[in-house]
Amino acid sequence: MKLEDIKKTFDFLFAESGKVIVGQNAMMKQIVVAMLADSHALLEGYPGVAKTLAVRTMSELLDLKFSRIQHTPDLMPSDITGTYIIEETSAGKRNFKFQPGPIFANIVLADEINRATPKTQSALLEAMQEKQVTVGTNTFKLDEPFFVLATQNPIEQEGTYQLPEAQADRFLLKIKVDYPTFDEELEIVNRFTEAKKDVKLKKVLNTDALLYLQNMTKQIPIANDIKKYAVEVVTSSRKKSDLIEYGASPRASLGLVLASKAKALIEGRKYVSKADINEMALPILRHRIILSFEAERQGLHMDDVIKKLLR
Amino acid sequence: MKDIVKALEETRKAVLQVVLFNSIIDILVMFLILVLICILFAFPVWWAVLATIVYAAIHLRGNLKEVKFSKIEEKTPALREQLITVADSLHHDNEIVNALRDEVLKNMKEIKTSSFIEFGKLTREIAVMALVSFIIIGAAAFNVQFLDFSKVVDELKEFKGFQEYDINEELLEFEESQNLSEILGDESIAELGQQQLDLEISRSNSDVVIGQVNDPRTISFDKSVPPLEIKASSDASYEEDIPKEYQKIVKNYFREITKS
Repeated sequence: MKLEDIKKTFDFLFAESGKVIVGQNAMMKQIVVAMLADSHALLEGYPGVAKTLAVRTMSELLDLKFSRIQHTPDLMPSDITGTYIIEETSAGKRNFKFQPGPIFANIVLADEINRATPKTQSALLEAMQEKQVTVGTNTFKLDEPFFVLATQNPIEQEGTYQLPEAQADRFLLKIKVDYPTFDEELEIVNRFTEAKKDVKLKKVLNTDALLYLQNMTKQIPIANDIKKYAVEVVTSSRKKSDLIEYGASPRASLGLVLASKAKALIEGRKYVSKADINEMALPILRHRIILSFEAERQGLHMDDVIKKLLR
Repeated sequence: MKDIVKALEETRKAVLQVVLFNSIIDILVMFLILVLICILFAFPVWWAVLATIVYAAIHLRGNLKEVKFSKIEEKTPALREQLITVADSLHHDNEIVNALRDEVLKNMKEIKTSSFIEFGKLTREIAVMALVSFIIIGAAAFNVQFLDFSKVVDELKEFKGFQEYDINEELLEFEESQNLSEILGDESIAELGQQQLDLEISRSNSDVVIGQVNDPRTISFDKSVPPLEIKASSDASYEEDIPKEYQKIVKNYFREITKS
């Protein structure tokens, strides 16, 4: 794939996704950023804002194997990773055979991750970190590429298990999904209340192309001054003790640079700009910072505090 | 990659030359103003040179810090954030970096040296230099001085308050109150001019007979007979009977003496 064609490819990808998802361009772009960075994303939004639909659409466009795990309080780790079952052969012999769980896919949609118990959450998170699953004494490697796109509902507090900050750190981005605008909602009503039309999506990329693009992302150069600025933003989150209780870890610095490179590639630029750092700082730091009581007392939201760290 | 390295070096050199030129003009203006001040206030001129050297060191240090690719980018919007990225990625070699280098090389022709020269400021500085030069010539020609610094310093030195020797009145009073007869002798002798002093010369103790002291008498000397007290002799070198081998040497010797 030529460099000039990469931007066209992404433009086509977003245009194709627009056939199914109305609006939510920022969400789609950030999902692609997470994929190019070979990492995972946490989508937070109210019910009915097309979180699940977006992930499913993306898997179709990228020709990736998709699986969905609906998290409930009674979900067990083996429901995610898979388990051994007894299989009887034609000769009458019984063997233990490993039955892979839904995690053995390229894109795993972990719906309402905060509803599962911490034990079940940790099984998923281990797979995210190690890209392998251990069942009993056997370890099974997961296919490449492997993405976990988790969703959580901000309004449901009862019966949920908040994702610990140390675990949330494994997600590259926390994508905030807002309600559509009036015009977008009108378009949604027009599209989905009329006679059902089969929307056929073209496969824009495949596994090999995606792996190639992931490699290209890492090749995007970044100037030393901009790199230092990215690290400065993250380290300043640890120093602003009046508004921030706990700052972001060095994982955030890695993530910020990588996400900025991915954004540059999507926009067809061969370099990272300061604007990329400023834009990606919000989804990178949202789930890695804990606000102090002073910030809450002042009525400041997470994004407001993060914007104070930026120049 | 050599092309981009060369291009970056040339760009940096060109900008450095412009910055140095701007700095030299600033330093010259400062020097002329300082010289004018020295002339008007009769300061030593080397003070102007010294102050200019200090100013030049500080000014150059500040200006040379501005010779950065990020400053070049500010003047060339087409290269924004790309020039510093390329400069920092010289050790990388991949498809994207190579493509970026090609793009930057193409856009580097947008860099205009004239954008680093502030023509308004330069014109004003040249005008100031011309004006100050004329004032210096005029002040030197007509010996214009607002204040003679050296005279002021001298007057300040003579001012009793600043004199080196400062009499401590209290210490002097204390010393005078003490008995200093061992050092200074009897105090009564220190008094002068209080009494009339009568001096009398005792004749018997003197070799001089006052009555016999007269003016010296005039004696006429006989020219043929020289006084016994007077003798004259001539050196052998003045005789005509000099050996032949030494005659030339003697002649040269006296000639040289007369020359000096």
